Amino acid sequence: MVELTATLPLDDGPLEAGGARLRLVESGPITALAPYKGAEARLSAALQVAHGMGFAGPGQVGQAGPGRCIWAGLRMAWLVGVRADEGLAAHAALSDLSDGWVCLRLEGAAEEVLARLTPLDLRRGAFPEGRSARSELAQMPALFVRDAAGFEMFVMRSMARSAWGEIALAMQGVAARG
Amino acid sequence: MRIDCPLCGARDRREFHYLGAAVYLDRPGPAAGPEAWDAYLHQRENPAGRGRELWCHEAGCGAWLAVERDMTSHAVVSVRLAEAGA
Amino acid sequence: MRVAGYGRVDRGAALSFRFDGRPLRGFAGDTLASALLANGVRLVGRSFKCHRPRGLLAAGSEEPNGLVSVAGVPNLRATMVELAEGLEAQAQNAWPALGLDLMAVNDLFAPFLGAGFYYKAFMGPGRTWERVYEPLIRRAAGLGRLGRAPDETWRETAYAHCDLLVIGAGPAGLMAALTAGRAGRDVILAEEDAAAGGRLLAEDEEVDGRPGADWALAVARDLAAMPNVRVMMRTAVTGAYDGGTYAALERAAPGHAGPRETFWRIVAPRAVLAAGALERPIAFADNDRPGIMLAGAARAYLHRWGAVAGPRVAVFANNGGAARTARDMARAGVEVTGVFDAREGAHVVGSRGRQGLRAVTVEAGGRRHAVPADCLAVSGGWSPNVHLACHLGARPVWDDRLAAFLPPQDGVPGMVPAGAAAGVFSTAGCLASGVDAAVAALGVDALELPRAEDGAYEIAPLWHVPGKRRAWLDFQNDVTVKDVQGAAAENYRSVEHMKRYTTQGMAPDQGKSSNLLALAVLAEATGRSIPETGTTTFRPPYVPVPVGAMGAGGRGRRFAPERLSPANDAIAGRGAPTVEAGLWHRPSYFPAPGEGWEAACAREAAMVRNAVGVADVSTLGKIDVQGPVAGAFLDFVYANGISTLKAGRARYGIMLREDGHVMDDGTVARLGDDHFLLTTTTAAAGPVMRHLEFVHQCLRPEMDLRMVSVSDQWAQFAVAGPRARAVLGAVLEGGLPDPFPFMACGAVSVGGVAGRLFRISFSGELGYEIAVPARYGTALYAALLAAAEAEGGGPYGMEAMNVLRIEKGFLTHAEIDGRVTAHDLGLGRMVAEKDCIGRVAAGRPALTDPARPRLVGVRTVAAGDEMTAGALLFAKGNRPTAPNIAGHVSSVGWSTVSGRMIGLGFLKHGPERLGEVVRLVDRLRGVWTDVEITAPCFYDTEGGRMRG
Repeated sequence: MVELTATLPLDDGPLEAGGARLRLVESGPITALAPYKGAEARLSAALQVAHGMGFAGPGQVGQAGPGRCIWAGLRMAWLVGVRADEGLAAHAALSDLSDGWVCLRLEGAAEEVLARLTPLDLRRGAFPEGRSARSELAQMPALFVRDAAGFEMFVMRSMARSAWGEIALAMQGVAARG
Repeated sequence: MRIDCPLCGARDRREFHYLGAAVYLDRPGPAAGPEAWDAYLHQRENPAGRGRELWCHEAGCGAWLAVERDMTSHAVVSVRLAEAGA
Repeated sequence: MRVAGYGRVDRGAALSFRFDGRPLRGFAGDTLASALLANGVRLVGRSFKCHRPRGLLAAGSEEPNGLVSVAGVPNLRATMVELAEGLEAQAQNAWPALGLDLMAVNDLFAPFLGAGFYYKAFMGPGRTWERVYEPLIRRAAGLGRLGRAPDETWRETAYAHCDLLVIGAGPAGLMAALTAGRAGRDVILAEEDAAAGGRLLAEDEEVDGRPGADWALAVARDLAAMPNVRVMMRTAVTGAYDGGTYAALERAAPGHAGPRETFWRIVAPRAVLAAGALERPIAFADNDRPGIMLAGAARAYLHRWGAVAGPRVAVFANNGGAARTARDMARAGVEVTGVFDAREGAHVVGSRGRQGLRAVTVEAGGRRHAVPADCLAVSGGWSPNVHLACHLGARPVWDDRLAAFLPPQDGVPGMVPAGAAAGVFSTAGCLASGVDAAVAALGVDALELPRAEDGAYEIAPLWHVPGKRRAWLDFQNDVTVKDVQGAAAENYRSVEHMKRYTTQGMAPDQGKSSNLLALAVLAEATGRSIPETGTTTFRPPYVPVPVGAMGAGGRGRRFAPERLSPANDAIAGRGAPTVEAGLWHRPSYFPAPGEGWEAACAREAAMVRNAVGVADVSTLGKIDVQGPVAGAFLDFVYANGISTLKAGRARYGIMLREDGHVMDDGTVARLGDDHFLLTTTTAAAGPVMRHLEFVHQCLRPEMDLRMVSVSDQWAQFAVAGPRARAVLGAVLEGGLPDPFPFMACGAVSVGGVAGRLFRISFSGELGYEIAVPARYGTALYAALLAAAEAEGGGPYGMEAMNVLRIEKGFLTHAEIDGRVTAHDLGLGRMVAEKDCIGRVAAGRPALTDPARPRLVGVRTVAAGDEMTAGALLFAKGNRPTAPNIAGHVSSVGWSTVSGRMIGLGFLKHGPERLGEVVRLVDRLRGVWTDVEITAPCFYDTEGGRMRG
């Protein structure tokens, strides 16, 4: 009888440099919620009932307990941290992305480090806490989420090592400038 | 150049993929005849002034956008979701 | 020489350095230029063409003559090199030495080396230009040598956003930044120099009752302490671009670890151009001797660095700079040997001292006399630094009163010029102008102004003093007044023609000290006014930017992100070399000890055919398509029918471009009534996804379906070969589903993990693909390999995969290269009778012409012969020339099954020419082979092995 053990996408441990701290985060389940035509309101209601938050509009992040609904694209949001209620499938196409995307967390002098990696306007006025944005991280597609302590960046699993390496190098660049 | 994505706000043009003229929105029917298809595939106006184009916010929200832009100054005049209609 | 009591260098911090091997000393705060002057070194370089001895003309980044090499980096301006302990700098363009440059013999040939000489002289005889003259001239001219080693310098690119970008931290820029900063706006203040202050650092000026440089330092500190203000020193804004975007090059301080440069892209809806003004010289005979410099530079060396070029200074100007320079020098105890103000009729008409100025010849009141001098401070007036305001194509505007060009209004949307850049030359004027600019840009409140001088600028235009000997305009390209006049005489009257014909303004300094002078000479020669003659186009970058800075992060493995399969580590652990497919890394082959790739490939292919092989196919694109009309949508994007596919089945599909050519092929699996899973070629996943979204959003927005890319979600492995069932039986919970016919698909479980199984074959053997969520990929791969090895099998890579599929005539993007149609591939019947992307265009007569090259198989006639992919095919007996090209070979491989090299290719009338022997020709690689045309399948043509 074959047993399958899970492998982490990255072996790299937490990294501290340039006043910033980088680590891999286990985000829990990730389900893409893509509502069908005209079903967004019904999906939002169903989400509210099943998970405690509505369907995230552009840039929004809803939170209820361990679960978050994070805006991730045109008429698309991700349910992160909890398994999606099957009833949601009546209103939206559900796709399991739990293994497809990896979450990296950057705290501390995150803005200074990320300035080297993304064209996003990271000023608090433009990108407040509790918001999400899709943009590039060192040429890789990424979903950025900002909270009080820093940023979470979701990148594709296949690119996780490249993403870690680029962030680490940017952290060293900031550290070297002093 | 920066493009104002209706969902994401103003972004660097590197986040976008350029397809071509907004003519691509007006696909002829299968029986439209060779001239219509030739025009759709190959014939383009090239104004020294405003034109309408299709861009995809590929590194962002993934929306296809109909962009009206001045080809000489690169000033973006208007941006709309393509799925909202031509 | 150094002047006691002057300069803001740190006399307590002495530094040692070497110039051309000669040990010298300076102080912290010196530039290489100021330290050389302080040491009495006036000769710093040799000119580009004529190898004339040259000295420093300026004190800032516009310096044309003082180009040096430091640590293998050529063409650095000595005025911008900050002195550091142990600095080693070399002069350029001189052999064997700066003082004895044998190439100066070029100067004797000057009559033959005038502007455009290569259009008129050195023509013949025969091919002497290519063989003799050009190599010699190329070696004789030039500025610095590039090192041969790859540049490993650490550099970065970065992005920044602000409400206001202030360009320049002189009095105007500092006030603009302060005004906006105190109003709470986000400000970036970028200053090219290492310290704030601009001209205040170079002059004996007071602001608010204290030295201007001290005032500037205090303001800069205040600004740096504001959380909403970012002060960037050593940062030159190099270009203004569309959409309020600016580029800037930030240099690290000397001795700093870390990236040497950071190339910034700054987004600023508003900007203040406080870039100052650049002084111009006056051209006169022999005006290029070492020791002849701009008067403003002479004052800068004196006030900022406490250095003068020599003990005796003379002054020549057409504006108030004459008196000011003389006063400052005299106060410093330097002997002023003469003050020649052109407004009073005094002109310098010549100079003496080849390797360093000894005397100038002056004409006044009709009489000439020689005046001794080690340094001549020259001022022809000041030109507002308009470059950035003109980078988007606007032209500057001539101002008669200033005898200079001003920046155009709205040359760059959102940019407001201020201070000297706007033609305001008094200190008080600059301070006010900076405040006004911030107010105009942002609508914020004005600040109270500090007190400063408010003198007038009075100038009488004088561009050149006529004379017999050469008067230099562009020092970097050795262009003289005579060259510009000659260009006009040869009818190159347009300023753009004059520029290119003479090369004036085309050197790295972009003609900063010569543009207006050359323009004035051209205007005079063609009987036009200066504004009538016009300016050439201004283009970024304002100062040279290393390509390595703009492209930082783009070298080697960091050129693009690497995409790694979930089984990557296990594959690497088996020593498999990888090949790139798009951004993905895939294993080429799995060598046994001592095995080369060909042997490994043959062994792996045989292993799959005879036992079983496991291959990693995780890298293929995978797209989830769900919704009530998903099937109808797929009917529209695929050439063949998809909606008829039953749940639990898969089908091969081809997608066309709208112009009728094949875009991609792949498998479509129907997992449920409203749920399809598409696969794409590895490298095509992104473009296909984008295409599908285009079709949905732009052409069929009314259709109700959703698509999500799941390429990274699944680890997927092919298990292929006669023993495949045994392998899967050992791994799957409950064994293989039964029945599971060819092209079936369904859910399976591996050790409690939900997976998917597909019975599809790319090898032509009994084949399956098994997928699990990516986190279990490593473990599943190990389990499959263990089971395969137990059956006499093992892993196989891309090389073997390629041979196996060629043997079966299966296609990759080697065949689907963007130029072929379904008809060319022999798949014309797959294009169903329905409207779909590409159908109409694919039906064009030219695309269905049987004479088009169509898919065939090729095999060598002789077993040991070679074929190469990309080789061309010719009918035997036809000369292998372009008009006779009958086709080409798209893929090749060594086939154990056929005992020779086989391949796929395209041949005109191909399917009608089976059995014919044609000639394969690859001139690039020197391969000429007889090959036989066959049907595109070399093995199990009925397909029994994979369907069984």
